[in-house]
Amino acid sequence: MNLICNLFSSIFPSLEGDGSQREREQKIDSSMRFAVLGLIKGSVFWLLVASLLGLIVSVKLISPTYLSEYAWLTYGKAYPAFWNALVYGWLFNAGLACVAWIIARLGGRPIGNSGVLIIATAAWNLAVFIGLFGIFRGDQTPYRMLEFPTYAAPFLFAAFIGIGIWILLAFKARAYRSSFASQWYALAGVFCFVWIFTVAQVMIFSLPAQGVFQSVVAAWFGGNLIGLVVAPFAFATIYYLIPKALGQHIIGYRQSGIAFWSWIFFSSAAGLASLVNGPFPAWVASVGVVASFGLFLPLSVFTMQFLTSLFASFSKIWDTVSVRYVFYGVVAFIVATVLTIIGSLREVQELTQFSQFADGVRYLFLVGFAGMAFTGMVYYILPRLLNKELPNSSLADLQFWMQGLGIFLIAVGMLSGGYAHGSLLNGSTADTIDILKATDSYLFLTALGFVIAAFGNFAYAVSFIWILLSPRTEKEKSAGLIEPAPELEYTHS
Amino acid sequence: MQDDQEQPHLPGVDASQASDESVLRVHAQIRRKRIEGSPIAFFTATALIIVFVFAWFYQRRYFAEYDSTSVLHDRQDIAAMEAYKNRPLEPEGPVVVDGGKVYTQQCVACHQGSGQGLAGAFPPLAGSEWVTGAPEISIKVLLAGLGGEIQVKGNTYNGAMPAFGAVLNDAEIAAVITYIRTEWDNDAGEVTADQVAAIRADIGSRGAWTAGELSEHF
Amino acid sequence: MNRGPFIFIGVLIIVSLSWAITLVKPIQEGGNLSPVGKGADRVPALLAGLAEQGREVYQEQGCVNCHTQQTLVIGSDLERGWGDRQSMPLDYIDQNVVFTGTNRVGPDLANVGERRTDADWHYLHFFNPQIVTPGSNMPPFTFLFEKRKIVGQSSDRALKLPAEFQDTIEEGYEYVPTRDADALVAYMLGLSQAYDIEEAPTPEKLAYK
Repeated sequence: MNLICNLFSSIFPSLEGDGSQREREQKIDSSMRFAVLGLIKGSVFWLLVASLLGLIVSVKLISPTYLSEYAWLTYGKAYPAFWNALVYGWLFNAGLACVAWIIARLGGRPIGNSGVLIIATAAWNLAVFIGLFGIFRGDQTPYRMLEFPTYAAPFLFAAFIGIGIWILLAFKARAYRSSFASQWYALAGVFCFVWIFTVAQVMIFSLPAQGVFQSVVAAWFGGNLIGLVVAPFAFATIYYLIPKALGQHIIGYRQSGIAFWSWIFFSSAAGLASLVNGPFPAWVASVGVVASFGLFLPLSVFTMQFLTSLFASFSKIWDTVSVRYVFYGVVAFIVATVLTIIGSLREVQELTQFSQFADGVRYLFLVGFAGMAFTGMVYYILPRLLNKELPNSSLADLQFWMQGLGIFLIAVGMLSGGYAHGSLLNGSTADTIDILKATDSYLFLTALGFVIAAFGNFAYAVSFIWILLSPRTEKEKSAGLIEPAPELEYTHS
Repeated sequence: MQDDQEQPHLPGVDASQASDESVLRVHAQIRRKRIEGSPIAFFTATALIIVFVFAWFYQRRYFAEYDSTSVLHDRQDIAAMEAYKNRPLEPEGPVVVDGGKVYTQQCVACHQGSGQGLAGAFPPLAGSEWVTGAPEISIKVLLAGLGGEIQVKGNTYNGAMPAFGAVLNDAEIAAVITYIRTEWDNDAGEVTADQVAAIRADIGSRGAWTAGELSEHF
Repeated sequence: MNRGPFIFIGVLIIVSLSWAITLVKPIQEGGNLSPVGKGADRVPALLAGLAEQGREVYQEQGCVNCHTQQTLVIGSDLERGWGDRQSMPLDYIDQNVVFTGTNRVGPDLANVGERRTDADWHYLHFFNPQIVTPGSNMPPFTFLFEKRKIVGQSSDRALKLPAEFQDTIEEGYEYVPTRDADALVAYMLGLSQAYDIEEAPTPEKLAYK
């Protein structure tokens, strides 16, 4: 009954009584300043770790003797450490920071319990640390995105439960009954991680499924981690930033419901496509292929919504730090999802399977889309949390181009190198050493991309520390640094 | 415009262009408002149809009846595997029985791998006049067994050799006799399954032979 | 969609559906295979004790990040001699973690024990892949060997490097495989799916009309 009532009456309480709109926002921001800053600090730290590991990994592929005397840093350990630091360290911290802030802001009320969030953030980062330490120690498991040793899993789970509960409480405490797409995605991401992580841990490690079915569970988890957790957080960010920073409502927002449910539906099985032709039940992989193809539906809605909304205020994109990143993220999302769809088809996988192609798509999706969207959001949040301006916008400019170029080169190197590698590997009987020689130049391209991206990430870290530590100017000491926001314009004829 | 040239390219703070409350309100309005002939709704519907058509044809072709034990997805391949599984078994040609194998299974315990038997208990086969003599002797002994005293290579043995007529078929008896007649420097001829079958029919069902009955073949 | 529980229940239903259909159903139907035959004829063949320990080294070192353990009937795996047939779920039922893998920076290892049967080859290969496969981008696993000063007679277990690689190690020292190296080599030699499985597709069976 409640549900129906709420569907029909979206209440917008007038909060004029408790101060101006800007003051309310400041109260919300200050209520969670410490917690969100903690998440961002964690994300920047892990971004640096991940870019260092990525650099090492890409150099090791070209020059196998590089750092080979360290038993704890062989390619077999650095590679999973890189991906896990990237996802659990950088993307989860940054994504949760963005989502927590969005939920609080859209809720319209200062949030309590920030102690829970702080403790959970600390626990999460500790868990990531334990997990990486475990990988270096030699306790990794052989499943993609589940490499963290089993003893890190309870910490990871408990910490996420803490953050998730905080987000749920913040959503429940909202002043406005109506909800926005950002909130749906934030909640969906939180629910999904708890569910898929439990399934994976139980079905692979606690009550292990027989033989190859562990790989099936791992493929399901790996796909869902990206599609049902990281991607929703990034969608939440983009849905929020376009109206907030551009003043442009989402065009075609009416279709958001379709996009949301179809994204969750198709994503939830899309990861299984990587199992084609292997010693796995063939129809399970076929479900994965169909599910990946199904992503075409939400993809077309997202593309229309995001691109038309961005292009409607095209001139503002390049002059707004955060929207620049969102723009890059949207383009990366479209390219990566198209490649996911094409790359899942059996005819294509016959050429690209087991090559770096899938890694390239994954990298583009995770870093090019989600990572860039989160970076943009962090640049939107930081001045508001700290009441400071960006100390050096040229540095932010440099960072954008470095990261953008780096991600582009890495993606191109991995995708075209993967295609060349895969078609020689699966389509010919060429010697593996000859294949390696034929794809050498792509490996160089990828390594170059990692170098450039590392510079960009370093610039990001410098920017972040700078804004954190710089003393406030006169202007920044006043409450008027950030102008009150106007009403979102919407005229429909 | 003149101002823009002098300002740094990026501002220090991205201005808020919409209040949170208005973001919620406006989008809630959009969701509730039905727009006739919206191109986005049209394209969404088209995408939905494309996805369903693809899914339908793909599952017809590749889902392989949801058989969780099959690693093949293509119906042609599955049909080929099915046909292979039900292939007519090769027509039974002349079965070649390995006499040596039968010997190790049935005979080694008494007559030993060397064919020398055990002195005083089991007579030798290697160089035995009974073995290398007429093939009928061996066939008859194998089929119905042998009892009582027998002189082999100058030694007298008194034992009971069991009958193998019910245990081994004609081909196996022929193979094992051929084996003992040609192994260990024995140099007698081969025995065929037909010969065994003829004698089997001839002697019918009977008890063990005695050495005297068999000596007629010398 | 204005309430949390609505989104929660919707997402829960969708993800549970995906879980039930794509994980629970196939595991119920195909996830309780038992070995066929006994003793030496057992399918799949069992690994010996030391080789079983080698699996742990394989997992520790993250070999799975560059090497798969699955041969496919599609593609050129079989033409390369990486196997004689498609790998089947039955091949993996004794393994409590499976190394099917997703990346092939290096060759597939499902049948490496069949094509590389020389233990010395493996020892040299782990010590420095350049010795036996020049141009490879596999890292050397020198740390799996113990560096010892030669006192009097050199150990008979010490690596015998070819002449042109003799000067890559310090004069007067020798490298002796550790237990990890022994286990890993035993595992490599034991890796095999060379037994026959009636249901496993091969090109000949698929060409059957």
